[in-house]
Amino acid sequence: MKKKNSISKDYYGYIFIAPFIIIFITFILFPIFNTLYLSFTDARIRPGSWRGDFVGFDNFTSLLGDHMFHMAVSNTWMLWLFNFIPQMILALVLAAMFASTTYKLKGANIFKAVYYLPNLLMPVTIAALFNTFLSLHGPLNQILVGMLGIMPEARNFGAFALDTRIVVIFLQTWMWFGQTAIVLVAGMTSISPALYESAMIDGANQVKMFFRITLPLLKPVMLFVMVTSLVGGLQMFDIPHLYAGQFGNPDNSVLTVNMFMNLRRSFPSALLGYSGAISVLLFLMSSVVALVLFRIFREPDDAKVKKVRRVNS
Amino acid sequence: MKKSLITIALAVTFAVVMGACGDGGTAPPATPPAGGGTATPAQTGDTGTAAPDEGWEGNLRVWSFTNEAEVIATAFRGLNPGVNIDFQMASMDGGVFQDWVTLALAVGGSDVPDVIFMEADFVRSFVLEPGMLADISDLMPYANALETIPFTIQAGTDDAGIIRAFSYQATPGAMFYRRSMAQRYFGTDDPGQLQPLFANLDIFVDSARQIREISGGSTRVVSSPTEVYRAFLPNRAQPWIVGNSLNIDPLMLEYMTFANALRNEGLDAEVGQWSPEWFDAMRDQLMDANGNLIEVFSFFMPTWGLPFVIYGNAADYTHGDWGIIPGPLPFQWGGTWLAVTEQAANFELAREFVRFATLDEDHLRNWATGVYTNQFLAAIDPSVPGDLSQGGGDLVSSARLIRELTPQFNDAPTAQFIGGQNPYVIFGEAAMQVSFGLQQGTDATIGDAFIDAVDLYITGEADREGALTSFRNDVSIAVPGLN
Repeated sequence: MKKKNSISKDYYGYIFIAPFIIIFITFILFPIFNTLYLSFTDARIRPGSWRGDFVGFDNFTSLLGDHMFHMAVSNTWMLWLFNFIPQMILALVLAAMFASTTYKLKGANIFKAVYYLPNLLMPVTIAALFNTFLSLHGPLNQILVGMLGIMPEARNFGAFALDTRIVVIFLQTWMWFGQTAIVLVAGMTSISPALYESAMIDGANQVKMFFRITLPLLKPVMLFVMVTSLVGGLQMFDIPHLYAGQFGNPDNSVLTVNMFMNLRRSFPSALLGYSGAISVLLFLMSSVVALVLFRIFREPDDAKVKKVRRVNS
Repeated sequence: MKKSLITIALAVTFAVVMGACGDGGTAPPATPPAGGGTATPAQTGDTGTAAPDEGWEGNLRVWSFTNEAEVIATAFRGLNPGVNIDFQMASMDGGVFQDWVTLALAVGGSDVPDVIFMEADFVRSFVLEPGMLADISDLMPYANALETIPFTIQAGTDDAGIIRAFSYQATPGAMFYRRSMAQRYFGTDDPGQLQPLFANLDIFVDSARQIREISGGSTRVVSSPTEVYRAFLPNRAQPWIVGNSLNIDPLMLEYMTFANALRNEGLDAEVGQWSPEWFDAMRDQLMDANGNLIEVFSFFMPTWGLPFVIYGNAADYTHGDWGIIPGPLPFQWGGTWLAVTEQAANFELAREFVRFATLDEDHLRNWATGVYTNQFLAAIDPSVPGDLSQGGGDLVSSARLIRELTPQFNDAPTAQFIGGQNPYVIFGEAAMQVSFGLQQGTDATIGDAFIDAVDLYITGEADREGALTSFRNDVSIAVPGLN
């Protein structure tokens, strides 16, 4: 009896972690390796061919030579960069205002909540809303042409490639700047106030303190924001798909990598192998860039400190 | 004791999870087959199947994208109380239903539907793909007796002439026009006199110009060229894919010219189908950016568009001010087909279900005449949803029944809505004109790409060649491997 008890104590640990391990293996680890495997096959969701035959690097070479895939990749990068840069600037300015100990902004929490709100809306809602808002006979044209008379005639914003890109970039920025600002505020409030106090005593102004104290100490948080935004941004799908249709038209102006993959994977093509290869390429792309970001953002001192420690020990 | 229980629970959980993996992890959002809902393959031969005198017995899995399937399934159980139907539904939006069914049929195993419902957009993909749908050609005698409308059979016939799907309805289209506007611009609202004014594409454009001239541009002939797009499809000479190449039929090039004329001469309202403005136009509430009223003369809609789209949205605003004519080209839009899957556990029963749904005279008559009210269905199965019912008026797939039932719809609410015309007469005639033979499995995707390309052309974003290049690009993504 006693012996049994002492054994089962070790057992409890496994029981507690079992749900996580099982879920992790089933829904994360297995799909990742399965995707990798599928990317080397010609699997298709059809009777007799859903397991597929091994085709080596065929999917990859065909993708890398496909000019529409190139377009999807460059669109994705373009859409991410042009939404991330303004989003980061906007979020930094807002976060600096929210976190500032000297301004003590009134109702900061209300502003934070309002800025965060777009993120709570479903992409479906946002896309439908803006489709209506920007349509030829829609509210925006009614305001610009009818009420204010700024534009001579109504513009069908959805019909032009550049307009569509601007709208998608705007929507991404608008949906995510609040979230980014809140993360940055959290980072800023964790910076010791003593640093600002001593800087103020030395006569530094707000701008100087922002660039000399806030930004450098915010680096780890910025890195976090950048990497998560990058990973999310390269997987961009819902807004362009819902706003501009499955091909990201007009003229594939907002066709992203994930939309390309969706066209290959879904009915009637149902090409699992191809889609696996696209996923793998997307994964490689985000990994490489994330690693580069990690290198750039590494504290310059870290390396030195390590070296010194190594020498000392 | 407790510990061993936990161990067992863990082991069972693990086994279930791994078992699901072994199956390919493909369980779609279906309910587990608990509670006796499963079909046992052993039943097929002897016990499960038919003694038609006493009604059928057995288990059936029916998967559908429309809840019309639940009405039919309930009616079927009313006649065959011994049949147990496990009914599952998923949306066809974004291809969810199609992905779900193809995955189940591809992987096989125990969770495979016996009967599936298919929409016009994807019925050809299933019919033409080997290994998915069973041969039910032997139901043809029933179809011959009912004079089933040819295009509905065409849709279910594969390239070898084997019939794999039937439909209970026919969904031909017509041109819905506004009587008051017709009176204003053509001096008559009589369908017989208006049809010659829209009888072919050239005359159509001429009449559209006349509407624009007289109205001073405030009335447009259609919401957008896309409205007429479907009328071109069945009248092509060749399909989209010939051999292994993308083929653009001369008629589709003519569509580009037609669309360009409508847009650049200011003949359409530049309003997309299904947009809020499109519904506004049916209610005479469409305003341009300056707040001026824009009227739309006509809408191209199929049978179901009358009760569900136009009547449903405009009955309170423009009741009785509508009329229907065949328009420039015969066409069809939507429709639902049924098939038995190749992997069906109980083929005989599944085929009987399809026969009942699509080729049973009494059932089709009930379907068309509104017999399947909620009370009727609830009497068979009290657990059916409170809003499940089938109103009268759907155009059934049997030409013989259409002739028989036509007088019943002379005074239907929808007939009053369209100025006293009997929709069964117009649609019944249109149904015989339509062809489905050129439709292929990838037509829906290719069609979307073509409509986008034409938009590119008529807004001036690309010239004709540029638009066609963009079209080929889109198709190369969705249907790779074409020359």
